[in-house]
Amino acid sequence: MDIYSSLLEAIEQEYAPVRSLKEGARGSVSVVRHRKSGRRYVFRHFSGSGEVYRKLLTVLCPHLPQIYEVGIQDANVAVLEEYVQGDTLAYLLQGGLLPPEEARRITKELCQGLWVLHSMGAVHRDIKPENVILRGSEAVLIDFDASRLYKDESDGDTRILGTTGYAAPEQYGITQSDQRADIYSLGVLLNIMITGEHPSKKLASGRIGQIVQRCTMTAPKQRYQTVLALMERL
Amino acid sequence: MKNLCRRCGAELPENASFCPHCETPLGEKRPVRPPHPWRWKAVICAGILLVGLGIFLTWRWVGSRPETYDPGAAELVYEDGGTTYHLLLSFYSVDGIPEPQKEKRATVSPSSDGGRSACPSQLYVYDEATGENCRERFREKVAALSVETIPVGNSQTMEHTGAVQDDPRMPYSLASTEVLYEAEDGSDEVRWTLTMENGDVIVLRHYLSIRRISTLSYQAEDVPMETAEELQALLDRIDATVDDSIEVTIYLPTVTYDQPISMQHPCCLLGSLEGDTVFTQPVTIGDGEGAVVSFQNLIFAGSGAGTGLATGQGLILYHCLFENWEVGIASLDGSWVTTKDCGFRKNDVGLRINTLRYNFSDSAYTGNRFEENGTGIVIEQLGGDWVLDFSGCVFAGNGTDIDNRAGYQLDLSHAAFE
Repeated sequence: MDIYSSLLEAIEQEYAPVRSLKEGARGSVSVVRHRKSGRRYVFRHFSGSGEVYRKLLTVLCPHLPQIYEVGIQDANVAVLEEYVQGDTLAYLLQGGLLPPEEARRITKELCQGLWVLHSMGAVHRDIKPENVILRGSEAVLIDFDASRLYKDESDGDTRILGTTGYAAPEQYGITQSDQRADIYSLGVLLNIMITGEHPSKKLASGRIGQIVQRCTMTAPKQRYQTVLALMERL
Repeated sequence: MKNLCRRCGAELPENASFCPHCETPLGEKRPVRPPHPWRWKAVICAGILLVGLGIFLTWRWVGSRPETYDPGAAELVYEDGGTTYHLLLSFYSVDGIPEPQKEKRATVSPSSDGGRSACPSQLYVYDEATGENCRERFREKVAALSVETIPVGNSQTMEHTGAVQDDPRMPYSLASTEVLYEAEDGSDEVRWTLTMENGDVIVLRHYLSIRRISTLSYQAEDVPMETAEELQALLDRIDATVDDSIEVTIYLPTVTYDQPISMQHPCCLLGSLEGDTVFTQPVTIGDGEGAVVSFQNLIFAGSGAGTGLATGQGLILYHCLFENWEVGIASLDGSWVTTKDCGFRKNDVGLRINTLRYNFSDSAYTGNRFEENGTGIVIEQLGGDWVLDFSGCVFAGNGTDIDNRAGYQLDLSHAAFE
């Protein structure tokens, strides 16, 4: 039996559904519980590319959830991943804005997670407060369903997968989105943590404002070219 | 050749990275961190530092041990005498298998009797090559072992019960301690220090963070709950509108509810103290994701069929009576149920325990009366390694008093069989 079928069978028989996180035309994401141990996992079952998840199988990074198993059959993907316990950044922001120092620290940690993705040739493409979980004091970037591997020669993206407001202009199909699309979204996120607004409405003051501005330039070439460069500025 | 899980022996597909049956990772994972963004000056400084460090390390290597290992984390791989040991801290283990935890977040309700709560910090050691728990072998190499709690910021200072090496409740741990905390927001570092016979010092740390949760209560004077329909409507409204993190208490009036009731959001139900609060139809509690509720002063009076109370959440019952059901209380595969000073009369089965989850546990089944039941208690399965204490319980006229088919440890030395 292949990994995909074997994983689906095990989930059906040995894991109890806890709650659904996302349900849509492309698939579903749910929290499941191992019936015997009680340990929780996130189970993704969707149609699309599972390559990014597959690459993450061998990687341990405190700012990304651990991927335990990936099964791919035709265009169907089943993923069993770590259930990251904590509040989302979106939830925390409901309670008020963050001090610039805290926002800077979270952004740096997200850069570390993104560096892992980017160094594998992947782009997250959906960076937003709902996809950041604070596990204790650590920021963890979740949900790679919109991710894809970046290829130099390929045509521009045609499907809108990111979240409006956080997505870089090129993600709407102007040019192909590469890792600089994530830098754009990260800039928007940093600004929102401090001001509560999109940078086009209200830019953070001081040095962080300058960093946000550089992250969110319309032309990707004018942005920081890598997350390492952004980390250095932060 | 078949690909078998090295731990549970299940047959797995070729190239599997994980055994979904026993949750054992099979492939190698490597920690990845980005390099530091260098500047030229930093590169030159780092070069000088590296040379210095190289000389220093060489000097240390020549002088060799002892060394201090302090990864600032809850896990460490340590080599000694040709064996590689994997040490890890956890606040939570299932059947002796710990889950490494850098931080545990716990919530405490300010209404919970003003006492302190406790959480066990546990230290485990495994042979990295075989995965075998090797605490006995490792213990011989440890000269001293200590634990301390250090508040983070202005947090409360949590107390602890010292490093205990043979707590029967954590039979596979190298050592454990109970960390005691009040219902106050804050976080403490729990730091374990091992001084080895060879002079090495190992420091592991993890964090316990406490959040005081909000409470909400409903009284019969303020909210209609005179009929089963009204109570169900209230429970549905609470489920739809009240955040899961809020603890809800409902003070029920003197009334008989004659329709089935189901509850999703964890609510504590307190029966009337002036008369009887009675349920004549089954009450069901859904999966509460780790919530624990208490029921007090309630009567579940059936007509010979069905289950009086079925729960998928942690539940403690005080002064409740279950009479004339097929099953009085059934713990579903959700969490632990404990009864104190409760009565079970004329049921086919009084209390049926069938769960392996125990994110909450309370082993004191004290002061209960089991009378004229077909079977007083059935323990089909139950997780954990506790000893169930039946002090003050009375078993009288049951067909079978206790059907302990799970073979769980029971203390019946202070129970009466009439």
